[in-house]
Amino acid sequence: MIIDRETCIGCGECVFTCTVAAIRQADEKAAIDREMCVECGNCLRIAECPTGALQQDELVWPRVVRKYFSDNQQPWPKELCFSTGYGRGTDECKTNDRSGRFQRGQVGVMIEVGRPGVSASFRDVEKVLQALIKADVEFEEKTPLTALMKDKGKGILRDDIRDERVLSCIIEAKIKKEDLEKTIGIVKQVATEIDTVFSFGLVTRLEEGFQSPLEPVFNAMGIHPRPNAKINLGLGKPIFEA
Amino acid sequence: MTHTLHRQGSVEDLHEDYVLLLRTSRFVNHEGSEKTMQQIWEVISHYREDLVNFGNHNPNWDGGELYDLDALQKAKSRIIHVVFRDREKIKACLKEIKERDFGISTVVSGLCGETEKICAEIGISPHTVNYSLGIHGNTGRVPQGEILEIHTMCGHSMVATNLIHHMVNEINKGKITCWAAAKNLSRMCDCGIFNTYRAEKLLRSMTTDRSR
Repeated sequence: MIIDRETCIGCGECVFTCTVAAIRQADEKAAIDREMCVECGNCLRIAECPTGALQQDELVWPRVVRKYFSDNQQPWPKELCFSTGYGRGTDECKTNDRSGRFQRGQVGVMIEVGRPGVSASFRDVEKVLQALIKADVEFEEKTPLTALMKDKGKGILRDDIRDERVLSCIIEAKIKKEDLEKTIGIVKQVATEIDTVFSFGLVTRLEEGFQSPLEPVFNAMGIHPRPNAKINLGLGKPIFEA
Repeated sequence: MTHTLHRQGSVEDLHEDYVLLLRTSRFVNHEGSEKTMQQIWEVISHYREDLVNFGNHNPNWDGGELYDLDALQKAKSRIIHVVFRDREKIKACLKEIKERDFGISTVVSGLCGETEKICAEIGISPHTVNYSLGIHGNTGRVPQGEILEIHTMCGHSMVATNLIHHMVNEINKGKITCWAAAKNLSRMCDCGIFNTYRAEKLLRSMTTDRSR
C-alpha cells in the first residue's frame, strides 16, 4: 500500500484499520511503514479514504508474497495455487473424512506463525521449519508455504522471500504419534527463539466414543488443550478408507 | 486454514460461540457440489432467526451486499460458515443436515465437551479433532483480555486491534453503541465467522455503555 502525501488530508481513518499498526499519523498526514505493511488490504477495504490518497501500488515478486498470505481475497497464482486457491493454508482437518490426509497413528502439526495479529518475517518462519526438521516431521506437500521452500529436507526457504513479512503463515506437517512428545518439546523450545508468536494446533483421528489417542500424551506432559476445538463430524461421503 | 480454531475466551463465553463449517475438498469434490451446497443453505435458512453470522468464500461481511441467505441459496459456494450462539439451535440444524445426508464434510468449531454431547444426542460419531494448544513465542506482543477475544473471532486476524481500542474509546465518549461498534468490527471479517453478539457483550463489559 502507499499513501499519496499530496492528497492525504490526515483524517486518520486508515490508521485504525491497519492490522499491524503500520500506518501512523506524521505531520498531520498518514504514513505507511512499508517494511511493516503486510499488504493485507484491510485499510483500502474498510477506511473509505475520502480523497483516494490510500492506494494499492503494483506489487511484484517477492513483495507480492505478502499479499498472497495476508489478504484472504487475493488468489494465488496458478503455479502456487493449492487447497482453496486463497489464503494461508489448506483444508487440513476440515475434509479429512473424505481426503484421508491424517490417518490413525499420525498426528497433524499446524503452526500458524505470526498469529494472532503480530505478523512474522519468513526468517522467523524458517527458524520454526528448521526446528521441526529435528522432530522428523513430514511437511504437507500441497501448501502455499511448502511451495516456497528451496530445500524441504532442511526446512530452507527461497532466498528472495526471506525478508518479506506476512500477517501469518501456516506450517502444516505430519508426525508419527510416537514422536508427539519429542515434537511438542521442540516446538516449545523454538518458541523461545523467535521474535513473534505462533498459534499451535494438533490434529488426530478420534476413536469410537470421542476417545482421543493424544490424551495420554497430554496427561503425561501436563498439557491442557484449549476447551474449544475444531471437530470434523465424519458426515462427508464417500468416507476415505485407508 | 485453521481460522476458527484459536478463538480465545472463557468456557462461559464460549458457550455462546459455535461455528458450523461445511466444505467441499478441492482435490475431491469441488466440482459437482454446487447444487448440494445450495440445498444446505436452504436448510440453514430454516434457522435464520437464530444465526449470529454467516458467509461463504466470497467477501460476506456482516451487513454487506452478499449477506443474504436467499442469494446464498442460488450462489456457488465452496464453503459454508454459520455462527450460532445457542447449542440447541446448532444441534437442531446439525440433526437436519445429518438426516438429509448431503455427504459434505461438516465441522463444528466450539467447546469440545458440548460438541461431544451434541454428537451423542443426535447419533454422530466424530471423525477427526483439531486441538488448539494456545499461543506461544513472544506473547508480550499479543493483545490481552477482551481485546484478544474479539480479535481472534476473525481467524485471518483482520479485526485490527487498533480499531477495537478506537471503538472502545468511541463508546465511552457516547459516540457509538456497543452493538454498532460490534457490527463495525464485523465488517473486517470477510468469511462471516465473527460472533457479533459475543463481541457486543465483550464491548459492554469493557465500557460504560449500557444501552443497545
